[in-house]
Amino acid sequence: MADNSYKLHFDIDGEDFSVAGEASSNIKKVLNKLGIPPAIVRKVAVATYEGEINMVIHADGGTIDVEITPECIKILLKDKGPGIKSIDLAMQEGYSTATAKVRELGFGAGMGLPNMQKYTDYMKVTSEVGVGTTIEMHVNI
Amino acid sequence: MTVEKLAQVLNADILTCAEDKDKQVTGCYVCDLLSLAMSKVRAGDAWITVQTNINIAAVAVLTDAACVVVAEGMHIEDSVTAKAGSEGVTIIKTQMSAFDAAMEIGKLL
Repeated sequence: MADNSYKLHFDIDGEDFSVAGEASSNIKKVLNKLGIPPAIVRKVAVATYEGEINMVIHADGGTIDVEITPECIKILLKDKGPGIKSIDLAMQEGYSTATAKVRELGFGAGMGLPNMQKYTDYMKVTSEVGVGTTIEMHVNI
Repeated sequence: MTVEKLAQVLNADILTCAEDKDKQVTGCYVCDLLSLAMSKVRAGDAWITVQTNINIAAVAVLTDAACVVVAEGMHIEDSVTAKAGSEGVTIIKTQMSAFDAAMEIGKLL
């Protein structure tokens, strides 16, 4: 199976909204080139974009690793940000710790993590305050 | 309906990717919250918003929107149109409100 997989890695800049979305856009282009069905590409695009924006807003950047196999697209988001105090709260639609400045840009509505869960078939959030957050997501093909 | 026709109806200026004016518009979505737009804009939609920050380009790319319709004549920085242009995102700008623009689009869909 390892021979059948395709891997991508992206470093995300923190605090730079001007490049936020570029990794997701690149992932989308690769998936389209590989002939992944548009509905699946859409799910991955939403999930990675929300993850990317979260890293920019909250964590001063991080990394995104994507592994594409014939059955599944696995996405691993890692950051060394402040961590999430309560994952249960963060998963509630509408809950947000984003600043007013971020809200003015049209983010921070507390939809990031809920959207990521909604658009993936599996999601696991691991976080430690002061250490960082890791999110693993799978989208079945 | 093409983007060119849409721009005519909304009396809008085509700010980016004028060469793609024959692109088809097949639907419409109105929202200024990017997370919501990200999950709700469908491929081929004209996405109406008053947001003009650089992230509208990313949302339009990721959703395959036919174009972004900036309502209320909101000011758009050159850096945003440059980014949108390089990503193949068509932005048109109208003086109409989001409601009026959506009403006009609705008549033609």
